[in-house]
Amino acid sequence: MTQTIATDRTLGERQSTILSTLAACMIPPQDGLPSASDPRIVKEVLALLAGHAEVVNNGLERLHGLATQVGDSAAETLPAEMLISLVATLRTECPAFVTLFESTVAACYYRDDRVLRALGLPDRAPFPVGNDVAPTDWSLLEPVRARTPFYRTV
Amino acid sequence: MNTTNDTVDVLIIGAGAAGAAVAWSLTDTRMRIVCLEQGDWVRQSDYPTTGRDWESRPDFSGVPNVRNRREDYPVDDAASPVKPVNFNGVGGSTILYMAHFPRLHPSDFRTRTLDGVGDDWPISYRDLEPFFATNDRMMGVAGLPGDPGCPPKAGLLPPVPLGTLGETVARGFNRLGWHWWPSESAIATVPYNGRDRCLNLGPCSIGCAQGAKASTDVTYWPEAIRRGVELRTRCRVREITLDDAGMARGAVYIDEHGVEHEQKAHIVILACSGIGTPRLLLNSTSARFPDGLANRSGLVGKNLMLHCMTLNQGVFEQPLKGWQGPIGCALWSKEFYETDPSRGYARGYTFEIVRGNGPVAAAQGGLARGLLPWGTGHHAAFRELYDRTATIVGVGEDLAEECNSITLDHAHPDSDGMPGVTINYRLGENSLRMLKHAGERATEVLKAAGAVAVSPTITSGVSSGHIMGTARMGNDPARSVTNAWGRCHDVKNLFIADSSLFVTSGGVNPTSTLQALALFVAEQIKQRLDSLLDD
Repeated sequence: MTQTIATDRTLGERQSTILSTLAACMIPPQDGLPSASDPRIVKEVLALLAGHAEVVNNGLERLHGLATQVGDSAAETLPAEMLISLVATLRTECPAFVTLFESTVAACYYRDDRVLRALGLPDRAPFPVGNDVAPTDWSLLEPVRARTPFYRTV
Repeated sequence: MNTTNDTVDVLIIGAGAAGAAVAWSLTDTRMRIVCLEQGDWVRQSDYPTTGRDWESRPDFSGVPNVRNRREDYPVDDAASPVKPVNFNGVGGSTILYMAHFPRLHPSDFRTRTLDGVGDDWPISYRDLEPFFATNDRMMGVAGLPGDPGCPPKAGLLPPVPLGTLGETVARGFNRLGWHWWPSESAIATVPYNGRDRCLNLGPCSIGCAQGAKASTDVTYWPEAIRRGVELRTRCRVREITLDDAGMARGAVYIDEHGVEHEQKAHIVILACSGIGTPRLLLNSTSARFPDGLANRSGLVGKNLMLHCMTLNQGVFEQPLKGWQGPIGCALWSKEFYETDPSRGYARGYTFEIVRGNGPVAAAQGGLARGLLPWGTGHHAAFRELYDRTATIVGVGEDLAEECNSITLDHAHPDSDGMPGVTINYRLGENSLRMLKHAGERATEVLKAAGAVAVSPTITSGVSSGHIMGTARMGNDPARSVTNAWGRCHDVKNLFIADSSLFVTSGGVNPTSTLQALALFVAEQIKQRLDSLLDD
């Protein structure tokens, strides 16, 4: 992964736990598809998020604040449904964090070999194999060809 | 500062779409030509599509502030509904463009005469026609002859196949009786001039590892260098210098080691893009030009045009195989290109049908638009969304307004201390009416094509690499920066050869036209060498 952001910053254990819990809430396992909290996937997620410590810290702090208000408990102990509803609130209050988190999880999840194979997509880089696109049936253009030129001449 | 004693004949700033074309053309003269480029060559093996993380490579983002390479300069577009994108390096923005390659229409050069809006260009489509043809030959353009929506052209390579997605949308246009045609695309669909054929990798917008896409690092530059042009990379020009007579003396640039040089030249040609060219002119102040070089008209940086755009996404029940094939090149429609006063606005727009994204971009887009929920519903929603969406982009003509401009941002300098830029841009009333029409028509055709749902029209936050008008050409020195062949009114050995010259934007991607214009400017220089600096 050439673009995994290299950083000597790491997330704390509690931060990692809550982020993993959030990843599991976002994309749970289903029908052969892994969860986004799968160890291989979440390791990449955490490595990328570590490069955005300020946004992550702000988001998690606010999330903990919301968790305390609704459940008087730590966010990572809340049921998934409740956590998801808190994220909906967080989306308004801390949009930078939610956007970053969702975008990062999607980037790591949807390039995982197991996910791509389960979705029937090639688990490889586009180059050098490329893709075959069927030749076009240009008879589709017949009604357009029948038109007289309509661009304005000057 | 190191000052080279060598005075070259021609100094070109910028090695992108325009700089490459003008350099190649001027090699006919046997003059000594040097081109300074702030970025570097991109190696084919560096392109994202060679790696598994191809959808997550910020170093190939079109947004300079995200890319944040040494050669990029800060662009503050916070107040603009349209976000400029570019690339700095050999090939310039052709490295990341989608290779959608329409030409401006004849009417685009006469909007004042025909429609009473904007200004007429001092040249016509007919003046550019031979240069369009030369440029098509150099770049290699795929398409199908006979489009009734555009002037005829010859020498096209076989068209890019429409694929399932393109054919599906084309049927929608047919059901409504609207025009469509396969996009002309600067893509080698068969081996061409040493470039291998397109492999349908998909995301041309992050560069072409195959080299089938016509970026100027693989088209013009190899030939220009073979014919003697010296291309110096990682050399950032800070200022155009003047001699005592008020003529351009050359340029001060900073090399990759941070060493400052002055390169002297008899002729200086700016080809730094619609942002880079005014930035450099505005940064070149002197007692003679306190408001920026060649800016006695006050129009350097003004009349910025970025195109007004709509984006509508239709969701279909069947897979569209949209991730296969050049993302930006399927088909276009000129049904609403020319002015029809009954529509309530002047001028018009092109519809461009965009293929689908890879899974990461599809998921990120779906999440951002609230189409992909968290939790157990996520997987089903992704399967319904992925590879089942077709996007129609409306590219509309925005009329030039002096309030739309580029100004220097001294608070945010680049890595060499040169000011960044601020984009001051708003959508005009005519654009807003046009966008409403385009959004409604895009929705109509997506439904006619079988879309079961169509997203609301997006007009704000869209990206555009179409940056035009910021040093416009014209016959009146009070109303333009250069004359009708790109020579600055105020400095007679200083030329501009890029999209800054555009007087109107048309409703199409500008690369084909800006390159034809660069070849036209070069030809004027060649034809007038013995009287080039005369009044």
